[in-house]
Amino acid sequence: MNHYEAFALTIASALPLPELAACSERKPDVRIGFAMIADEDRHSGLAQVFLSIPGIARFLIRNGTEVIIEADDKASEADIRLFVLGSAMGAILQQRGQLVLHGNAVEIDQQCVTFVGPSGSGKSTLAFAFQSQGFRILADDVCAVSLTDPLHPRVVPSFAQIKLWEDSAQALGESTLTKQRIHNRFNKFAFPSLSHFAPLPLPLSRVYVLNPCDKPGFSVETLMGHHKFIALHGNTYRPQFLCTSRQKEEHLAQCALVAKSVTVKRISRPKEPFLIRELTQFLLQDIQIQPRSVMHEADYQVQ
Amino acid sequence: MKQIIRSSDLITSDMDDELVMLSINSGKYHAINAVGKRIWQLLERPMNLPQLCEALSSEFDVDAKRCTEETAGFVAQLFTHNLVKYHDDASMAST
Repeated sequence: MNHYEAFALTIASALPLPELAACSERKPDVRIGFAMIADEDRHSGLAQVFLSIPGIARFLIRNGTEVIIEADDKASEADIRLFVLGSAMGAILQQRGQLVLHGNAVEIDQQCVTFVGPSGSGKSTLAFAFQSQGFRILADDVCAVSLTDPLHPRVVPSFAQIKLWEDSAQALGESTLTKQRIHNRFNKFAFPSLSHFAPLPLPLSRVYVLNPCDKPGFSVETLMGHHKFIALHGNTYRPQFLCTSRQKEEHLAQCALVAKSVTVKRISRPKEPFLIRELTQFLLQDIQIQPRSVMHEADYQVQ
Repeated sequence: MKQIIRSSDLITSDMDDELVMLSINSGKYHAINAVGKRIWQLLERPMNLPQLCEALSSEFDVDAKRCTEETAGFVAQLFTHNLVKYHDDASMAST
């Protein structure tokens, strides 16, 4: 058994997870192991998620404490790890009552700023650019918000790695030659960020919704009321795991709660060129200069 | 006159002055403002339109004619988005 710490949890895993920080043997919060999954467990429900990835494995994630892997013969450990550290841990955190956002989190001024947006909107690239400037990373992709103190949501550090597409890495002047490809089907590479990893949960102060668009230049608007809510609800990690009415209701309440205490802004940037360094500077200015609370009429589609 | 009541597949949460609703079946979001929120609260129990307007007139400083027009318009929107239903339909469906 391998012992790790990640997502503010202790993990005992039969599958080696070299991306995570190893720790001494102790009572684990989460156990990860290999077993056959019984037919009657092959469904998702209130306390469990069943996930089938053809050619790799079936996963049963339950009670916020257990990940069971039924691996295909030909699957590589790297492929399985990708889903364990992504979807499976996302499900574990949801089951433990956290709001899990699909985003990247960076420590700025002892607070946490999170970037959300669809895949390809530039979350990881932006986080990596912040890291290059000396800011510490809390999360890549799986951004868990703890609501233990409901009025002060905190982002839980995940583990020290950012996944970058090859072209994004090149745009940032980083070579992928020495990095590990995260999946043999994708041109995406793992960049460990050990020295730049924030080890403790931090208050979530801001969420930026990244919005690549066809207009030139950057613009930022503060979202108000239900627009804030929609930004959080719509950028939740693996929302399909929340399949029962009770989970959906809890998720709704979590989003409303976080929306109350967090500034949510939408940042528009040109699709091409990315202008990553300029965007980083633009965001730093926006974060340091406290904006007046002007209400913008956001044209978010309420659907 | 038929009584109106909330649809049962909605979950809601307060969001500042607004009320955010999510339809479990369709996955669609809806948000309603403060006055709309009060109408929604009142429709926890079945009410017809005149009863609803009477309740609202007593709480908001608005003349009866305008209240009736605007409430009818809002309730029509609620029907369009399947956020409310006729109470009679519901009782027939359950028998």
